[in-house]
Amino acid sequence: MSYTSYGFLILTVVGLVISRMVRPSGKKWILLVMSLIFMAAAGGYGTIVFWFISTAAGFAAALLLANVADTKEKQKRIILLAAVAFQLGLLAYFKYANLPAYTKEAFYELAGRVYEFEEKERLALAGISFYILMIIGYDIDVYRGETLAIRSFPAFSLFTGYFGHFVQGPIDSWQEAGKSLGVPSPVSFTDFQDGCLRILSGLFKKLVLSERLAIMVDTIYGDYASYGGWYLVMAAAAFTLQLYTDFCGCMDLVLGVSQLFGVRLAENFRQPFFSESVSEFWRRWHITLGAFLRKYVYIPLGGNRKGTLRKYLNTIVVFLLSGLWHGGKWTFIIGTGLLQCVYMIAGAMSEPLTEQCYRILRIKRTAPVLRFLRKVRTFILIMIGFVLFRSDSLTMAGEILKGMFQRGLHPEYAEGIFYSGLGTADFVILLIGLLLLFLISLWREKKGEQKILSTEGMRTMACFAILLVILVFGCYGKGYDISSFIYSQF
Amino acid sequence: MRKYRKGKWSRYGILAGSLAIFLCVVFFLQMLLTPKYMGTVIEGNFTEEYYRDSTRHELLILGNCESYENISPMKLWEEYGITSYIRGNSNQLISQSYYLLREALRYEQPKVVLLNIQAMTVAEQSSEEYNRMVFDGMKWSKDKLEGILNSKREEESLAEYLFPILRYHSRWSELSGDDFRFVFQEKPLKSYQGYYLRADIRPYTEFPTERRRSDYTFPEQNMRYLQEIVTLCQENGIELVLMKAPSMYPVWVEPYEEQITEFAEKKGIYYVNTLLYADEIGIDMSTDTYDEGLHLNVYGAEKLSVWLGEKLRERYDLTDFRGEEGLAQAYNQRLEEYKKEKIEQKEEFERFGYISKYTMQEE
Repeated sequence: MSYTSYGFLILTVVGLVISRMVRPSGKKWILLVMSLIFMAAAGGYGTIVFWFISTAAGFAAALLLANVADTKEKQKRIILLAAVAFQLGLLAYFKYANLPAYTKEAFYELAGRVYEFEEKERLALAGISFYILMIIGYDIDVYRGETLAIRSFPAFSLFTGYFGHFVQGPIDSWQEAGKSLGVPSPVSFTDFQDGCLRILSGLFKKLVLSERLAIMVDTIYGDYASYGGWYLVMAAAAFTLQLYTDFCGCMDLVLGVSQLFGVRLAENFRQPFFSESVSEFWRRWHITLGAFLRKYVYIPLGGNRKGTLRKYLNTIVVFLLSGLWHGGKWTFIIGTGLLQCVYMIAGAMSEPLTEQCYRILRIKRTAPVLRFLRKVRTFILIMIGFVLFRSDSLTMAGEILKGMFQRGLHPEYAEGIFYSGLGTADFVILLIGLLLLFLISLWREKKGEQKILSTEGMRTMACFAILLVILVFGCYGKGYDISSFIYSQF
Repeated sequence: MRKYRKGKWSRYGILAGSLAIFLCVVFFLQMLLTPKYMGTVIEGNFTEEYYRDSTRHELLILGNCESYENISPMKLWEEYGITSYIRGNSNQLISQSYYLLREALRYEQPKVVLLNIQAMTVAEQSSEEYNRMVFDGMKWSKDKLEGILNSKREEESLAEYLFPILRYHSRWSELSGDDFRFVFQEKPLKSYQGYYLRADIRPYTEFPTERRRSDYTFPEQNMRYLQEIVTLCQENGIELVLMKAPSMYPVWVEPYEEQITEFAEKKGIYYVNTLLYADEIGIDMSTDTYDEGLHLNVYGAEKLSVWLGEKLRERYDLTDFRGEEGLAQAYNQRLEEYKKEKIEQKEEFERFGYISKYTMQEE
């Protein structure tokens, strides 16, 4: 079951109807049942079993930590280390079983050789990367005394297994989401309306924009050796936008659905493409992962309090973990990890020189043109990282990046506008959609949470208008091919 | 308090108004985006055209393409005054024939039901488009719902049948003039009492050798639905006839023939395999087929209809309605249109060697 499936729609509607019929205190039970159904449908029973083991272990560890006197620091630390090691062990077993082989493969690739190996098969567990981090964060918070250990296992299970953040995050904290799940707020008409608008915004990003961008990306990356020059640049830019509209769209959808139930989850995106530097980008993109790594890794390592060198080292550790979290392959580790460190460290080291240049040239750092250019530069740098993220191997990424500097090549047989597989009409819809997204993001950037449509009536009408646009222009279901009627069978 | 109430009413008023406009627009878009089948593929109209025929039929014919391409109800009328209709679609499964029959019995009470049994060999639907052709034009009823649930493929969803816009929305970029025109206008009839008229000729040459199967037993579901059809006919006092059309394609092998013969004998049902009577009927596969022996063209279909009509008339005492004024007028008018199109197709074929409206489809 995905968030854009009919199954999820039915689950949500049924859940909403039932939750309206029960007392406020009964809502959490409905959410828990919905989460279990979602979990089973999205990942199967294996997912439920390992989620349960992980949740039970995290819950027990927190209770143990709470029951050990504060004076027995060593004992508490051992419990915490064991709990974290257990959770990370589970994650490593299921997600990083092939990391050694991938590492060997990467070294072979660098030496221009091919390393062949058989990938270890592991049970595909939905949501494991998200709930394990949430459990670790909770146990550490209990250890630090930042939160009290929860005594209710169902409440904790709802926190770790809540369908709204189970598959793609956000990586919520117990202090905020956990408590909101335990006692969902009453839902007013305005909340309901805002939730619906948020869901529709997510569906628009996912079905109207991301799925169209995916056609371009899959066409060109699927045959990257036949393309060259600006076609590869276009594909890289398209993938960057695809990833954003897909991920951010999903977040809008789950936050909107949660809002309908009176549950508040953490925001995960804040107009990342308005960032003027890479470090700012990562504070606006997948915010909850960045916040988790900052709180539980960067700051404990000393953050920026122990000198420049240590700060750089801490940054490398954080981004290495960030890259690793995205996947066990080196394309992820470098693309969303180490390369980003290089950007940030290079940016920080060159900062004095940049400042000096501004002074000499008498340019104001905040000049609109410079701010715009910095945003473009950030987009390009991130786009390069995402080329690795999208590539199957380092060799493929290298060839794509090299190919960008060649002349514009395309295969003769490729169809669609700019040989991208996307029809002209679809391309026009995509451009209009992206322009709309840009304008809304610009509004958000300048006005924050202030509503674009000021009256309730306008927002109601907007809901139906967006739904209509999604119904017609969304890429869902399979295309209807009338030629399939040709008698092929008889 | 008064102000609050007013605000609340205005809130729900806007909501209701917006919803009403939304539903109207969705309804219009659904009508617009649903395929009209006015081009090279016209078979998608067959199911819905049944409801537009106001006459009652003594003979109802069910089955897949072997039914709607091989029997001409217009010829049955012209020769014997038999009123008939074909409820057939491409690759129509036995279960789908059952649901179409069950639905038809709510509108009329035929004397004879003829079921072409070639579909007994087909275990499941091979493509979604075939299901769509059967069900899209069908009026909503318990029969349609059960029919969809019974034969939809795994990737198909009931929601897309309930709300066709979910299925056809992607057609927004390929809409033609016909799509707009037939939102407001009634479509012209494309079949002749469910018959698909083809007057082009492509002689039979050679078929591939028969593909061997490990098991020739009819799928259990088909046997079950065949029995359901038998029961339905018995309950309604209808005579059931089983027929195998004279298609030369080697799918109908001896084990199938034995099973259906045994079934028919056991149930006391008349079964006729027209492949065995091809010479008697006068089928000549050098002139009577439009696709090298796979299906009959209008010349072959008329020969089969004359032969079959004679058998059915004698056996079941079918009425000659040619003397019934109102009915005769409706049938004769359609017969004239049928003859006109037959001549037009014949002339076009003789002139160009193909019929343009079918050419793209066959390419």
